[in-house]
Parts: sequence; C-alpha cells; structure tokens
Amino acid sequence: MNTSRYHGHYVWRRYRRNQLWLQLKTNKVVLVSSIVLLLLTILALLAPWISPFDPTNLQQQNIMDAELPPFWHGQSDSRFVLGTDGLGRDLLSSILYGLRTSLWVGFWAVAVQFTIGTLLGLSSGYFGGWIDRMVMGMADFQLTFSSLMLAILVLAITQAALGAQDYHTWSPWLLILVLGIADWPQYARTVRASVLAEKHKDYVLAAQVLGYRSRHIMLSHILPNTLSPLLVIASLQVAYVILAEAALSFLGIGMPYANPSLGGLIGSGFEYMLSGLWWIALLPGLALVLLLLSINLIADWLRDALDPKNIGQRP
Amino acid sequence: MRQTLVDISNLHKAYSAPHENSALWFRQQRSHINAIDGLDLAIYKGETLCVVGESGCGKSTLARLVMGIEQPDAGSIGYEGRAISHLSSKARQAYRQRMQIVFQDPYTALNPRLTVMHVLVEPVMYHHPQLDRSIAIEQALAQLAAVGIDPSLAQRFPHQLSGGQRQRVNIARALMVQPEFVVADEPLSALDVSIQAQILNLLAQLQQQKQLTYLIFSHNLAAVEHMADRVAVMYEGKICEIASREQIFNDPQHPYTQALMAASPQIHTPPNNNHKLVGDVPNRIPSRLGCSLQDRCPRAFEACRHQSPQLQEVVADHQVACHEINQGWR
Amino acid sequence: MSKPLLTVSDLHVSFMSRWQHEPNVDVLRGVNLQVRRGERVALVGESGAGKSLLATSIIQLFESSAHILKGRVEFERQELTQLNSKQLRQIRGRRIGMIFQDPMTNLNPSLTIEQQLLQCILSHRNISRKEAHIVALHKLRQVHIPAPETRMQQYPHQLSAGQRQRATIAMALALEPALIIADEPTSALDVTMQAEVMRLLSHLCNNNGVALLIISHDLSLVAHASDRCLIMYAGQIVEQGPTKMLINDAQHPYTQGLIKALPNMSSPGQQLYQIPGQMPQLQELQQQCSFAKRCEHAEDICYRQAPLMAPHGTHQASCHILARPAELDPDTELTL
Repeated sequence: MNTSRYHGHYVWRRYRRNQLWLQLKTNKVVLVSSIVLLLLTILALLAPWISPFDPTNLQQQNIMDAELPPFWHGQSDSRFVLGTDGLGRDLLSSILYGLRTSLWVGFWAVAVQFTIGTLLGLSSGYFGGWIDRMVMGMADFQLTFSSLMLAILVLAITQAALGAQDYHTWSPWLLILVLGIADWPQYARTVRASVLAEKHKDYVLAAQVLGYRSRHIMLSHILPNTLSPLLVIASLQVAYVILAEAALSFLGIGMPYANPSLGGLIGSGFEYMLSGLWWIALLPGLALVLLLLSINLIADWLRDALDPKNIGQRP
Repeated sequence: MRQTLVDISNLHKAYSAPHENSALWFRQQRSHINAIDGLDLAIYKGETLCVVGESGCGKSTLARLVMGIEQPDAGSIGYEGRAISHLSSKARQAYRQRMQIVFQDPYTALNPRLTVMHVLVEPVMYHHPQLDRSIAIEQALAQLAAVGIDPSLAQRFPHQLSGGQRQRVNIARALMVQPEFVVADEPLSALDVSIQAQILNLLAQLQQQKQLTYLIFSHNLAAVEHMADRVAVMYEGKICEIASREQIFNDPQHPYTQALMAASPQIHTPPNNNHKLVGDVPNRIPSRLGCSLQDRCPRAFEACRHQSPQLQEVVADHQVACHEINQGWR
Repeated sequence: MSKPLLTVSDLHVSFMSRWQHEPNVDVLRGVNLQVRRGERVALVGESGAGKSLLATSIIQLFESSAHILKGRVEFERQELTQLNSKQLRQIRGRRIGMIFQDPMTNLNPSLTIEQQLLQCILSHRNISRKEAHIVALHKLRQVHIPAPETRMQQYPHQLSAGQRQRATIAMALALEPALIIADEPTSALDVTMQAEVMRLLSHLCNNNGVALLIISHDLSLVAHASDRCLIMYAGQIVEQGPTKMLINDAQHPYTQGLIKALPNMSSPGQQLYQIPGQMPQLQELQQQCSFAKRCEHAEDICYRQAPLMAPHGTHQASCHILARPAELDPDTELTL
C-alpha cells in the first residue's frame, strides 16, 4: 500500500496549510537565524571548492606563513584573508572545513540518536510489560552518566588501545557512534510518553479493530503523532552534539589535527591566546557561536510552531 | 425464529486499582474492581440492542470485550455459535472485519494526521494489498456518499471537519470492511442536538440498507426509545433488566430502570420525583455480597444484602434481576 | 416592573486572528440579555453558538485574544466593561457566582473542601475563621451533601461526581451573590444526578432570591427549570420568551427544528426531523440571517439583510419570514 506517499506529502501540505511559512516571514529573529544557518550550511558543503587552501593537505602549508594576522591588521598577507594559525594553515579554509566536519558529525550523530531512541521508545510504550521495563531501565542507567563523560571514557580507551595513528582514521566514525549512542534516552522517554498518551486514543483502538498489525499501527498511526516533540529535541541535540564534538576535539580526543573541526581549531588556537594571537581561537569560536545560536533559535521557534494548539483550525 | 448472532455468557472482567484509603505508597493495597461482573446477553441478528447505563457501569469495558480489544477474565463471547473470546490474534482476524465499532468522541477516534480519504482507503488496501488503488478510492467515495459527506471533503484533515461530519467519517470507516455487526459506544453524546438527529437517521438508514446488527451503548433514553428494538439496563457490571422497547418504556420493573426513566429530561413533561434513588452513584467498590443497588434502593430488604439477584423472566422476553420482583413481594 | 439585575445590550465580542491577513472573528454579534432579580433564565444553543463566551464576557473573564468591540454589560447599576481588575474581583464571586461544567476543574485537587470554602469566604468577608466555618457548614447542608462535617475534611477526589458539583454550588452560594451563572452545570453528570442537581439549583434560587443564568445545549433539561429562555445561534439571540410559551409555541425555524429533532418527538422507528447542514463559519455572516442556509423557509431577503428581534406570538423572535404581513401567508389567505 502506498502510505509513504501520503506521509511524504503530509509534511509539506501541513506546512502550507498552517501557514508556517507566513509565521516564519513575520518572525524576524527566526528568519535571520534560518538565513544564517542556510548560509553556513552552504559554505560548509562547498568548502572543498570555495576555500583558498586545503587544510588537510600538508603540502600547502608553510611554516614561514605561520601566525599571520587577519586582513584588517597592518601586517596581514593578502593570501590569507583571516590570517593563519601556528603551523601556517589558512584560517578561513580551516574554519570552512571545520564547519563542514562539525555539521557532518552533528547530523549523523543525531540521526543515530533519533533512530535508536525512537525505535526503543516506540516499542517500550506500545508493548509495555517487560520490554518497557527493560528499555526504561537501560535509559535510567544511561542517564546516570553524563554523555560527555561516557564519550571521553570510550574515546580515551580506544585511543590508547589503537594508538594515535589508527585512532585518527577511525575517530570521525567513532565520534558519531559514541555521541549517537550516548544520548538516546531523551528520545526514548519522549516517544514513550507520547505513545502512552496516544495508545489509548480511540483512533488506535479503531486501527486494532480494523485488524492492522502492531507494526503498521506503530509506524503509520502512532509515530507521526509523536514526531513534533522529537523534531524539537533533535534540532536542539544537533547543537549539543556539535558542542560536545568541539569539547572533545578541544581535549584532543576528537577529530585529528589534520582533519580540522571547529573545536579542534579553538583548542589548537588556545595556546596562542596569551601571546596576542587571539584570532586563531576566536574566529573559529565565533563561527561556532553563530552556528549554535541559529540552530537553538530555530529549535525554540519550532517548539511553538509545531504545538498542535497553534495549528490553524480553519480550512 | 430469531437467530442469535452474539452470545455473551457469565462474562467477568476485573481491573486492579489502588485501594482508596491507603495513602502511603508502601502500604498500598490493590483491590480488584469488577468492571463486568457475571454478565449475560444475547444479541439477535438484525436487531438494535441498546444498553443503557450511567458512567462507570462497565459499558465501555463491555464494548471492548465484545470487540476483542481486551480479553475477559472468565466467561465467553460466542459469535454465530463459535467462541471468539479467547482466540489467538491470527484466528481472531477472520472476525475482525465482520464486526466494527463507532466510538463516542469523534475527535479522538480519527488520526489527526490522516485525511478522510486515507482513513477510508487504508482498511481496504491493508486487507487486499493486491487490489487496484483506484477501486478502493471508488469504494471510499461511495461510502462517503452513503454517510452523507460531500466528496469534496475527502482530502480534508479531521480538524477541518465539524463534529457531525467527523462522526459520519467514523461510521464510514467502520463500514469500509463490510461488517455485519456494529457496536456503537455513545455515538451521540459528543454531538449537538440538531446533529444527533442526523446521525440517528443515518444509523437507521444504514441498518436498513446493509442489514446490520447494532449493539448501541447510550445514556440518552430519548434516543434509545427511538432506535432500539430491545433495551438492556446495566448497573455495576451486570444487566439488571432486559426487555423489548415497548415493555421497558411502558412498564419498567427494576427500581433502577424506574429511576432512570424518571430522571431523564423530557421537554413536555416535568420530571417525576416518585422514583428517586437514595444517594449518589457510588465510587466503584470491590465486589461484595448482595445486590449492587442495595445502598441506593428505597425498597431494599434483607435478601438484597446477602444474595445477588439473578435475571428472571417476568413475562415473555422481559427479564429482571431484583429480589422483590422475582420473589413476588410486590 | 423592577429594574433588571443584569442588562447586556448590543454586545459584540470578537476574537483576534492569529494571522495578520485574516479578519477577526466576531463571535458575539449584538447580544441583548436581561436577568431580573430572582429570575431563572436559560440560555440554550449548540456548541459554537457563543454561549460560554457570553457567560465569560459578563464577568470579563475571557482569554486574552477576545475583546469587546462594543456594547454594555450593566450589573447592579455598574457598567462592568469599565471596571478595573480590582473592582471586577469584588464583583466576581461576591455578587456573581460561577458554576462550571466540570466540577473537577472548579475545585483545587490539593485542598480539602473546607479549606476551599473558607478561603472563598474569608477573602471576601470580614469575619472570623470560626464564623466562616459555620457559614461553610450551613452552605453544605443547603446543597444536601450527606454528612457535611466529614465531607468538609475530604479532598475533591474522595467525593463522587454529584457531591463535587454540589460542593461547587455551595461555594458559589457561599457569599450570597445576586446572580449565579451556571455553564452546563450537569453535562459531566449521570442522568440520575442531572435531575437532582437541576432541582437543587432552581430550588436554591427560588428560596434565596438569587437570579440564575443556566447555559445549556439541552432544551429538555432547562424546560422545567427556568422561567425564561433564550435561544442562541451563531452569536446572536434568535428567540426569547417565557420558557413554557417558547417551547409550546416556538416561532423561529431554528427553535422549531431543535424541538422537532428531539427523538421523543416522533414515534419510534420513524425518520427523525433533522435540521440540514451545520453551524456556519462565523466569518461568512455579515449582512444576512445566520440561519438562512439551513432554513427551509429562507427567501431572498434572508440572504440580504439580518433580521431584527420583534414580537411574534407570545414572545420575541428574529426572523424575516415571521415579520411578513399576515396576508402574504397562503394559509391565512385560505381562511380569509
């Protein structure tokens, strides 16, 4: 049967009918945030083509270019618009590549969280009984750790086990996996709560009476009605994961130095901070703040916009 | 000869609930509330049986048990002579499409994220995946016409419909799988007065067209009097009186039935104070000895405190469960 | 006749639209209403007719998106629309009591009945706690709550639904108001309790000289519990008059339809009379009779002009067809 076509259309149709776009247009803060996020994403996606240098390519680095200031400074070099870092890498290129890495890690880690959390929460809420107790027990256990602590633990151990060289080839994937697995309970709990509320509504009973299988009822009837709070969590989590990745890279157990991320850049620039080379840490820091702020503002708006009470009732 | 379609005998269903007077969680006792407490009921083919009762009497539980959404603790439900109450979900499947339910609240009974057309096409496509979609859409449009919904509303979402339209869509969905037996749980109570008449007429018309058997739960006596062939009165999980419509409205026997009739508002006749019950509808208490109405019944006597009365025939097709009447005290 | 206790005149209330390009929705469109001292008035209408909004507009307790466009609400010689929130608090509870549909939302679940009653009494009256306790007990006795001393110490969830609604009635009565507004007071109750609570309400009002404004969707329920009845449709009063006369001699096609559609008005098994269609979208109704689309007698004028309230038969109704000169009526012509 062709339910997917309906679901695909559904989101767009709802947006159009409920005039979310109109609301977006009138809400200046969200509009600006969206434009900023869109710009940053485009820049990140196009980084390999638009950045003047390739920061992953050691051939292009010259220690003689190190510690050059940005363009507004008197001693700047016209080749390096935003200056260079301690090893002579172009800062603009590094930031663009770093943005790309951060967004990439953020997106995939959240995709992992979302899938694990939603599936576990859905089964937990719908079936109840021992499945529910087991899943929620696991969630409670996981919530007693800080996800960042868990990530540090796992990453530090693997780094020690694999050795720095091997570790760096695997670290992006590991980072996604660890950050993805560490934060599923939030989703699971939210989904479970919504499922428990939806499960006893008459439309679910009607679906049972019509003889649909549990899987069909869960995926086509209950899940779409639990998505709104999940989208809000997911968008906030993107910001959180990017921040966590930045923190881990800052600590030196995240992305490898040769594969710059915003956190790694801030971390490597930190040591130059006191010697007056503030831009090496501050410029990637600004990019990070801009990215997180726009995501958080959009997530905040999404929370209100997806609230069923705010959905226009008129045909 | 009347043919029995659904036969319910000695049905029991209990829920456990925390004991009312144990406030401390570590001393909390759980007690069993008998939602359905030894209920017998036969539904004949082609009739409309209305079950009347107040909230908390177990109406919704009975509807769920009959539909197989829940399993009874004891007793059995037979459908055309075969016990269906304890079938596996696979064996149950054969009966799913023969019986359908219309819920009370048309707002929660429709998935807010699906269009009317999707709601109607889905059951057909689900059970006959090889069928061409356009045939299912045609069937859905025909069904919409049958329940009086304009086809232009087919692409609407539930929140874009009025309460009456939503209830019509609910009815249409139930009929999409061609059932022969339809349970309706308070189908009118969430609707406006002028819409209630529309839905009542629709139910009657559909019954005639499709030879449906109805089991309708309601507390609206005026509506029941209008549509029922037979009426069963339910109190605390049991049937306390069952008879044809004429008999129950012209000659109610059970004190509870009499009180219900007296209390039901009538536009031209003022309320009657003769058959008042004492006190309030009690919070459900764990099962105990005697008649469940004993505390509220003005005519209760010794036997009512010790023994629970059984349904007995007073005249042909008129059964009452009351010691006073059954023992000929009156 | 004495001056009315409550006079609502030409009240227009509108809901602000969420979207700037959409027009505001006028939910009440010129409502006139009078309640005299000790009178029991019923306001009957379907959901969406605006009856609850009218009730909350009287005590100025509506949500922030609603606002009064024009009109006056005069209560005991005070213009309520002009009062500030402090003055309004003095009126609410003290002079006008409210009873809502669901007693559970009316009562605070974490306070005992006594605490709530005392709070209500002490905040408005300058008496000692002991005296207030006596008043509270007296009120509970008045509403026939069995064993009031023990009930007072209990929390709302320990009471049955009927007792809870009685407790809210006691609370509304506690300050001896001049008017009680009861919004669907029995629709959360069972049939046997419904009759009981209606009887209690109208009995209390008769005895204490309190005026009562009952809001309901059920004409049969208020038929024997009110002196005067107003039928509301799409934000306007379409017919009003003494209850008995209004029911026995309904003039407006909508009222007639409401009565004819009751299941016990036709014999069992027969097709019921039904009013076709449904309540219109309120934005559509500017210069026409709001019932025109569903009315079987509607003519051109009904779509061009909104009818005015005028006397017809024993009472008042707003309908163009009724307002026509009698000689145009074919039946009358025959008798002539």
